[in-house]
This record gives sequence, structure tokens and C-alpha cells, in this order.
Amino acid sequence: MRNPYEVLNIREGASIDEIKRAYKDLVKKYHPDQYQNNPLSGLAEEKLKEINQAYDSLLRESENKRSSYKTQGNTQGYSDTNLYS
Amino acid sequence: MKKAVLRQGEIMFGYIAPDKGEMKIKEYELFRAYYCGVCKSMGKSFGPICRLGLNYDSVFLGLFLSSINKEEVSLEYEACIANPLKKKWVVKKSSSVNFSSDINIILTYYKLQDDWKDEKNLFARLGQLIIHPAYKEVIKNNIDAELHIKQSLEKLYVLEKQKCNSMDVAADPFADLIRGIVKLGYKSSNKKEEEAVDWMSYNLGKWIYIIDAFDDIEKDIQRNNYNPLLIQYEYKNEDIVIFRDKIKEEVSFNLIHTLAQAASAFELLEMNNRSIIENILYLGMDKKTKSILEGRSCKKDEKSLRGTEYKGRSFN
Repeated sequence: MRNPYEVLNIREGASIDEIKRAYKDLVKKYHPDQYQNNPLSGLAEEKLKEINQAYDSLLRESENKRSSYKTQGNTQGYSDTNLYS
Repeated sequence: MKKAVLRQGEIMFGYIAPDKGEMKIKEYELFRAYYCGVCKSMGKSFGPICRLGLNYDSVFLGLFLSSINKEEVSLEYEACIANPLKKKWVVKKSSSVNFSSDINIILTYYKLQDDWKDEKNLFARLGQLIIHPAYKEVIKNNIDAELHIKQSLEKLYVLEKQKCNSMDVAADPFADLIRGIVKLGYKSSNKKEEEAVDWMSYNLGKWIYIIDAFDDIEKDIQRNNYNPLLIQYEYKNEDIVIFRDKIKEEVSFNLIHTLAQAASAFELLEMNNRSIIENILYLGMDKKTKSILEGRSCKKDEKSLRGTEYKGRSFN
């Protein structure tokens, strides 16, 4: 699978909002409605699949980061320490 | 009908141009470097006289092929015969640019041959004789391209002699000519992308043919030349302006639809210089469509990028 950031045409480490915006724009661009009666409709469909996969993978990555942050936050965050005491 | 093959005689005139006012400076510089690259390639291989055949369409061919072939081109800062005092960036070591320059020689040769055969234009005969050695040289390495061009033009002649009354049908051999040329210059083995390249180039060819037919309505009426639009829309000696206005909407619909098809293919392609091609496809060609439909001919507008011709030019 290609680099998902490359597929969505965004910079590596883009925010979740940027990812969603790029995804929405690309889905509009390659939507089957845009390729009705077009000999390239199959190619557009494949492109859309690739975009969906890239989006899912970036969402998962972002979700993982969040949960890992939460986990780390519980053990290493400020709440449980006496850094300033 | 005095001259049935004029449409093909207008091959590659210079309709596919960028909207310079909307380009970033670095994009414009690179586009110009391709322009100078094609020009220098023609001059280097075939002598300076051949450079006179240079136009925007052949520059686009070089740029487009170089972009889809994802070539690593090198740029050199050089002066040239048209502008010896001011150096400019020139694209070098690009097989796509060299291919485009070769194709331009073949097309120019056929155009001159056509003008001589049909109009007995002595300048065309002279031009043909001058570029004949270059043409002979070019076809040695481009046998397939030459054969494809020849066969496509023959199909075009047949339709024109039959006075084909459909702009779509009449445009098909020319669209196929462009598709075949691009296919020969495309070096990727990616079959899926090839489909998109084929569809994009076919539609660009179709667009050139139709817009040229519209652009030439007046000239073709005056010279009694074949023009599919005159037959399809049943021109009956009415005022040319009224006739153009009458058919404008339908021709415009066809042109925009053709551009939309080319754009749908473009969006599926991975390529270098994306923003430049995007500018040409979405802005330059759209602008050209509108200006020609409004009666502003590209043949009066097109100017070379070689000299100091930007003085006083509008970028609107």
C-alpha cells in the first residue's frame, strides 16, 4: 500500500481535521457520479478504494496515538506526580 | 470543394497554452524552459529554420510526456539565436522533449505538403523542400510515429472527401492521431495509467480539432473549404456572425464536455509538473475556448516566448 499521506495528498503528520478535509475533497472528485458514462470509471473506483484505505489507516493511526497518549498520560502524566512539590 | 483537407493542414497550431497570469513564477519559468527546450532541440537537430514550426501544442506534448514519464530533466542557463543577449533556462536531456521536436517536424512537413498539393502554395513547397532533409532524418528513428500520422491523416482525408456531416465523427481520426503520438512517447508499463493517458490525449486531440473548425469558419466559407460545422449546422449563406452565434452554444457544450473528459483522465494520473498541466487544462484551455467562441482567434493571439514580446501584453 502507498503512503497514505501521499494518497490523500497531505503532509505527513497532518491534523485529523486536515485528513478529513482532504478525504472529503477526494471522495467528491472520484465519486462514481463524476465518472458516469466514462471509460475510466473502473480506474476511478480503484482510486476511491485506495483513498478509503488510506483514510481508514490514518484514522486508525490517529486513534492509536490518542489511546496511547491516554495510557501514557495515566502513568506518566502530571496527575500522579509531585513534580512541583 | 476546393480543398477538403484543410482541417488537418492546421495541425498543432497552438491552442493548448497556459494561463500565464495564474501561474506561479517558478511554474512559468519551467514552462518556458520546456518551450526553449523543444525549440533548441529542433534547432540543434534540424537547423534553425525548423524552429519556425514551433508552437504551444508541441511544447505541451513535450511537457506532458516528460511529466507522465516522470523524467528527471536537467536545466541549463543559455542564450539563443532569437535572444542572444539574455540567457534563459532550457530543459535538457529529455527524450520526451526530443520526441516532441521530432513529431513537430513530421507534422510540419505534412502540413506544408498539404498546402502545396491543395493550394499550390509556393511558399509551402519551398518550406517543404527546406525541411525535407530534417524530415528524412526524423523518420529514421520514428517509423511507427510517421506511419501512425500517415494512416490517421488518410482516414481524415476520406471523411473530409465524403463531406462528413458530424463534428464528432470528423474529429475522431485527428483525436486518434494525438492519442497514438502520445502513446508512442509514453514510456511507462503501467497499463491502468496508459488507459487514462489514452483517454486524455484522445480528448485533447478532439478538442483541438473542434475548436480549430470553429476558429476557421469564416476562412473556410471564404475559401469554400470543408468544415464539418458548416455541414452539420447547415450553413446557407447567412451572415457569418449570425451563423457562429447560432451554433456557439452547442459547440461550446461539446468543447466543455471534451475538456471535462480530458480532465477526468488527468485526475487519475500520477505525474510531475502537475500544477503546470493543471493550469493549462483547467485555465488556459478554458480561456482559449471562451475567447475563440467569442471570436478572438488564437492564430492572431499566439506569440512566441522567445523574444521581448511581453511588452504591453495583458495578463487578464
